[in-house]
Amino acid sequence: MYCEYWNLNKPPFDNVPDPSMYVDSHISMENVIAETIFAIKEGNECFAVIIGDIGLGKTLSLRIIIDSLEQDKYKIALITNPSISFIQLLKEIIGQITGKQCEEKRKVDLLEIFNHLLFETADKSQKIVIFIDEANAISPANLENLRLLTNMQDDHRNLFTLVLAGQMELARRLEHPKRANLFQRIGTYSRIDKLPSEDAIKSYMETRLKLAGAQKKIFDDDAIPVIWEYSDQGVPRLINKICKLCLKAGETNEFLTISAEVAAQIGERFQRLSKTALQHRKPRSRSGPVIFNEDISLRKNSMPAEISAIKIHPEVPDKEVKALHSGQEVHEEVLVGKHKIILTIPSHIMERSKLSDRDSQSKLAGYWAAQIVKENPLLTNSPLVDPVSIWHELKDVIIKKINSNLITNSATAIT
Amino acid sequence: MKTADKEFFGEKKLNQLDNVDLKDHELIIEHYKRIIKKDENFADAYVNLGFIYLDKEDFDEALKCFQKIVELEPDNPKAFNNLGYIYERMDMFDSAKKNFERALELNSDDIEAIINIGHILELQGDYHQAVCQYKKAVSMDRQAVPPHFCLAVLYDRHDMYDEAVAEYCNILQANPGHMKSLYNLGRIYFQLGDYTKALHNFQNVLELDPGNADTWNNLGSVYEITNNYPEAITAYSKSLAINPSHEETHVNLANVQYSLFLSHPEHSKINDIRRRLNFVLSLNPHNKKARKLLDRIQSMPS
Repeated sequence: MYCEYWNLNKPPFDNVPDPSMYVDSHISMENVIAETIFAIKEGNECFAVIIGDIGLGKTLSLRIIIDSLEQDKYKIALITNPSISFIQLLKEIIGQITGKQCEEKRKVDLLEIFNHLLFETADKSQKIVIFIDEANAISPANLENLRLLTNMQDDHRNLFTLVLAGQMELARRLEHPKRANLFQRIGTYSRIDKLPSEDAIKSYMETRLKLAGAQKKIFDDDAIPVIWEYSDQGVPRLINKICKLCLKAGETNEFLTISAEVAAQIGERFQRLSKTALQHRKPRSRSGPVIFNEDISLRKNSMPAEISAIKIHPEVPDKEVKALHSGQEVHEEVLVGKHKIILTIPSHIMERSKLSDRDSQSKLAGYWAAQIVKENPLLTNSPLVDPVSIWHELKDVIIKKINSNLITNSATAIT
Repeated sequence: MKTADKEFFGEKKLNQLDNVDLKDHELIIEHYKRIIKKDENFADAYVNLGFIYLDKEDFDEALKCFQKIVELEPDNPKAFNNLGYIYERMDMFDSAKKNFERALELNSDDIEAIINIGHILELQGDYHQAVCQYKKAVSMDRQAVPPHFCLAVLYDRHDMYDEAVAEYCNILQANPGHMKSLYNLGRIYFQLGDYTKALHNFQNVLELDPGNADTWNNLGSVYEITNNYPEAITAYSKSLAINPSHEETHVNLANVQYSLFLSHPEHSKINDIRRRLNFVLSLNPHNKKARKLLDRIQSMPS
């Protein structure tokens, strides 16, 4: 074990929740935890907000806050994906607080149950705390609904606290003038930042190593700027990952310390890999009787083996589909690689190109050509075909079409 | 991502509904509705109908079907597991968990229910409890692959390398052809700098599934990092033949080409690299690695 090699009592850089590793290490995170616990326990606030980008420790902070709340004093609901309807949200909250699945379907009934729960809990000298993680995914309507929920308070007591944790998008939404009513109710508004400097990273690493029982210096000073760079300039999750891999590499290669070179090798490596393959989750089917009618068959999508002409229509969102059928849409048969294709350039691309300079036109054409390549694997189905050449060819064709269209238009305008 | 890759990375695919056209969905739905009209307690019809709605991602209708099955078969743990799954897909994790717990009450040996509870805990960010659940499932049947795999992936995603390796190895002992374990193990060995083992694992995956673009890309990375550029280029090209829009592979290929260019500068080559990176940025303007390499190339003295 690398801990033994480095004379450590425990792993210093594990990316798993461990409250003991947050003391004096990541200051903004500590502040967030302390302020939110204060808002719940002492401040009696209705809203507490935690803002922070991916990998900075929001979810870990929530876990630490939840673990610090006494079970006999607080009833807790934790919503981790709030992009659901308000009715579903209420059902989830009620279900978690009561411990029973809530089957009510009408908003008015759910609100009544929630209201009743608030007073019942308060009468038992307990308090409800609702944590919503990834709150940036809450719809604007649900944000407003949550604000209205906080109207359900006693004149003298604050019956529950709502803790919203989310990425920067949440901050933008809350700070919008339209939501001034909600913003005014926020008791604590705290933010988890990246570690702000190389010095902060050094102190973070040294603190963690010390907490893990390190007796001597492990990372060379020149490794710090490298870790700063590869950790996306101070993202704690990445710092932990790099440092852990460095310690393991040190053990394997029997290094006395971790140099900048080792840190750079590690940083290079983990940036390269595709994501982890996950467990395929599905419901259980049952071997019941086959009850398909004979006239209903499940068709397999078949594809012709050889084609000389295909119609190319990249899939576009609904609003773009509309654009395909209006204005100056271009449809033309062109030869790309070995395929004759009907090239479609939707009117919104043509319109935008009118307002663009040469460089932006090239980017626009590149974007549209890339969409065509992406959505039409038949164009690049031979291993001998380089998709980049096809893309480039298509891009050139699109640029020509855009230009000829612009010339035609200006000629029409002159006429 | 091609279908094979999608499947590899665990996107939903229901056996009997592969490649069903949308209009077929409607026909089948009508068919089952007619059956249910004749016999409204025909549980299998609700199951099949529920699966069709699930395939259509119409979770509200799927929920109704699976709720009905629970009503008809209140002692059937499978029914509760399925209902829990629908709630999970609807992001109603607590309702999902309660149904999985109910399935477990009905059958205390239901490993699937234990795994499902672990999965919900994982989604709720409760790492330690999720580990406990998966370990419980492992202890109930040490030979069963899914509990080991869930535990391994949980460790893997939290960078608990030693623990993840041990679990993946357990799986491969029971099933040497478990592709996802071979693949994930290859990734870990790569990160740990054990390139021989990484190479071996990725090659094993490709023997089982030569159409996996991600694995060709990772194999290319192993060759690249060990300075075997010709093999790296071959592997990256194979990845792109499978998935021409594989951004990571394009960037990696550009990177190798750039390294080669630095040792033998040729004007035309640098243009090819630029073009490749511009293609990636056309696919995804936010690709930081492509932007960084392109900036480095642009800043080169001409």
